[in-house]
Amino acid sequence: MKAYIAKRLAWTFFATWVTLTITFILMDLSPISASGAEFVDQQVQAGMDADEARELYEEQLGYGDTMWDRYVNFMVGLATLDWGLSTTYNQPVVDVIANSWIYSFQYVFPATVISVVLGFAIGLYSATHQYTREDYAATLFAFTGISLPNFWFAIMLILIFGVYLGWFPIFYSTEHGLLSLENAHQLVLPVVVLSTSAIASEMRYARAESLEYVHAEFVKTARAKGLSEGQVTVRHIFRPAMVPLITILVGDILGLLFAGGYVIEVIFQIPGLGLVSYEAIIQQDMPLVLATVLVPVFIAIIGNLIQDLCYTILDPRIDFGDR
Amino acid sequence: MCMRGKDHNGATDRRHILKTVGAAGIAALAGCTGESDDPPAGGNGDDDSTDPSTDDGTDDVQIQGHWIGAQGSEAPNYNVFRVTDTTSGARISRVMDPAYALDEDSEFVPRLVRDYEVNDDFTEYTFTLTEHGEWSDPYGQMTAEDWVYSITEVIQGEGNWASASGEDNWRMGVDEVPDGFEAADEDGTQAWFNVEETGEFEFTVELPEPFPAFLQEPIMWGFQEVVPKELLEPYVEDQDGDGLNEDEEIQELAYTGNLGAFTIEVLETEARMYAVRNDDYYLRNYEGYEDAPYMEEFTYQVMREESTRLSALQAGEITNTGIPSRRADEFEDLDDVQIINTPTVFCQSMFYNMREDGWGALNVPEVRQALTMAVDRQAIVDNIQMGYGNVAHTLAPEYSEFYDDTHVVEWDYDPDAAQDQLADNLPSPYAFEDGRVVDGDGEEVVLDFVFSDSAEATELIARYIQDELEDIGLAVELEPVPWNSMLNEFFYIPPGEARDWDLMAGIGRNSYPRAPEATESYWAETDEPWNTANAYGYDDPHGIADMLAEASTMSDDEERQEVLAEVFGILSEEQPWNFLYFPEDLNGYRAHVEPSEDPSISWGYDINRWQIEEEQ
Repeated sequence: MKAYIAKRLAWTFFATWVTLTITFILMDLSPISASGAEFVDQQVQAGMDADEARELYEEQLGYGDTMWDRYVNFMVGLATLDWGLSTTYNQPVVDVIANSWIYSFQYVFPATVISVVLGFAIGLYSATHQYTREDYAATLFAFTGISLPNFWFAIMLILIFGVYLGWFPIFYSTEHGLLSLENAHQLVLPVVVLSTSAIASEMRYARAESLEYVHAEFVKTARAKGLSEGQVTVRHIFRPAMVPLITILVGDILGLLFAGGYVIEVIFQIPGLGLVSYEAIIQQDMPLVLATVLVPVFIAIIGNLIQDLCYTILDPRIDFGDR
Repeated sequence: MCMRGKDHNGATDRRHILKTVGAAGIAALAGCTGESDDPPAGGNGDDDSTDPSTDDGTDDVQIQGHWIGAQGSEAPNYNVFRVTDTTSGARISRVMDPAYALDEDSEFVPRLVRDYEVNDDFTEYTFTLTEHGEWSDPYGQMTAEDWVYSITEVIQGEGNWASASGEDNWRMGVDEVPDGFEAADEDGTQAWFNVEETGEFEFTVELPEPFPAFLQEPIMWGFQEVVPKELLEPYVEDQDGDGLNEDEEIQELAYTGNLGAFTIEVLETEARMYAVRNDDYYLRNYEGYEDAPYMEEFTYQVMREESTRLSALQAGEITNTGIPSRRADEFEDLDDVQIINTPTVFCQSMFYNMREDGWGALNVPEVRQALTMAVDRQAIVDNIQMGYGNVAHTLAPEYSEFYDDTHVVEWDYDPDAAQDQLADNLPSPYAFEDGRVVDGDGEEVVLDFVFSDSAEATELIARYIQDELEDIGLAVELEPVPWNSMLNEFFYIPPGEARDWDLMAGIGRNSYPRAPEATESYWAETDEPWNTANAYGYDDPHGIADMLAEASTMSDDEERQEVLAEVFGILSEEQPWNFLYFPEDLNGYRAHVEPSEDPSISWGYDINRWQIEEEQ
């Protein structure tokens, strides 16, 4: 097992390096950012040559003269934990990430818990009550949740519950303490938006996986042994279904954090990691882009490692000892 | 003759500004950015009102309220030497006053600079600073030494070691560097201004050539690039521009002391800047400002999504934001929201590619005139801009004191006449066959119309123009592209390397209504137009650039006005661009906001005396 973990960790570093290198190359070859173009345009109107203005912009960025210089600077910086200065915010990258992750976590975490618990529970219920009215209702909810675009749903909730009813604030304000009731209050709408689609998605997976076991021989045997329906559902249907479900969990959480999170964070103006990483890409803020790529890549790879290890707990037949 | 403390109309030099930034920055102070992301100032006043102040004996001034202005983007940099964006500029202005402002009538409004003198030939300006300015501890009193040091050692620093964005503002083009001045470039065509301390609170700016419009240019107007000398010294000694840029005191504006109306308490990335009233504000030592600012708190809240900003304004959660013209009617109908329209300095235009990689016929003035006649610009203003704007006939807005239509030709909308004129003036090998423009091989000419995809209005305009040109026989293919790609892959790039384009929209150009001579670089013919503001390659057959350069040194107002009138006339006749319209900004405020000034391009210069009444 130790050798397996060591091999996986080594793979983690290699995969991270490859991902960062590809990201660097794509970013470096990209045309100048909108803010860079704006800078050049202003300087040219002020009388400077366009070429000169581009050079001044590059100087201000301070990334290095050649592609190789820049690559070495960034990679050495990342390896030595000197992640540099974000050019979008003119702050150390570490500070930007340290200040923003908590804002994402505070709504992604409850949304994830809610969506996993409710999604799996409803999916399981649907599977064990296939083709009943409850199953159809859950399926309708799932398709509605998956089909609703988050940005539209969020704007509608703001209009109804913020503007017209005045029950919730329209945008997220950092003036409230993270553990305050006001903060929880202003996170209700973002959590609802994020959970709605996530519950629907988890539910469909859970239903599909559970259905594989509802009519399995060992489930019939369990019932024949006189186990209660609850015990059959939890121990003999849900447990084996959990193995493939866990496989999608890490991807789902990352999706919520960085993809779903961006839309939520822009509309509710939550200063979280999704917003920051998106802006970094748009502004071609290389140090921040590389750092915000590094974090999810690490989470994904380590998360996958942990989930592999979880298999051995969920299904004792799985053993990595020989690998 | 020596003039003091009054406004001077003057010429201008080509090497000036970030005029775009200057004008827009002032606008952003007051929230007059219309559909742009960064509205002016504003406040909601409904949640933090305090007792009306009567300590100073003023009865009618209510010091209360919390202004929450929405900004569509985050401030990228607070290093005053590198700031070029309006979001950062607006925030800095809350905590540090500029040298001086210009009011609705372009009159000098003292701030940190209290007075000025100019010599007879407009080559030497002397500025007197406030004696009440204090930096934050431990930097002590703000003196002329700080100003001169910041300008000469940082902005004019060797090799621009600080990567200062405004470096270009402090030098000017010369035929020969005069005695007593230093060359600012290797070939001696640029000379630095001499900046010298002449007293504890006084310094002079000496110019190599007369520059009557110096005060109207964003050189000293709106100038904020001053930092305590003691804070700068280590970086100047090491020529460490990055170190200066990363300095915490610089990035947190922690040195501004009593030089601004507010003091920063919170700076949160992608969230807000929160500042409280500065109880020691230096401006209170001057008549009329004894209680300034009239608000207790000021917040700039980043809100990237337009619909969220508008909802927040409607619900009263913020004090102001820009209103898109398409939604103006809806907000006009709300009782608790007011919309204030302000003119802008920008001219929305369509550029013609007159370089060797453009359609050759665009070099013919009569063809360009025909294209102008083919487009119903009033319809664009009425139906796309929703009436918030004015048709442009030349590069000067009618509200400008320099606007003179004596020689201006107005090309009225007339598609039939446009088609006739186009047919009559097409250069060889192009011709008009069966109502369509064709090339020498009889193939239909298709023009590439590239435009920025960042604004819905620009796309609508492009589609409308496409239809209008189709009607007179010109086929047009539209190509929406990101704004940065448009500039870098089409515009500021030589033919051969550039992607194909004939027409271009989405670049607003400043008309410099206070100093129209600053548009000289738009027209100056060069060997490498793509490297300049004249990137569309106008060949300037009438010498417009030279006329503007000449006007910039004229001290006689009448003579200058005559030259400008002639230039406006030539531009309208030549139509080097299709001047479409001058838009208006729509600024949405809660109804309880009481501005202290009239709408103008200076909108917001007096924000510290705006009041917020208690909202019912």
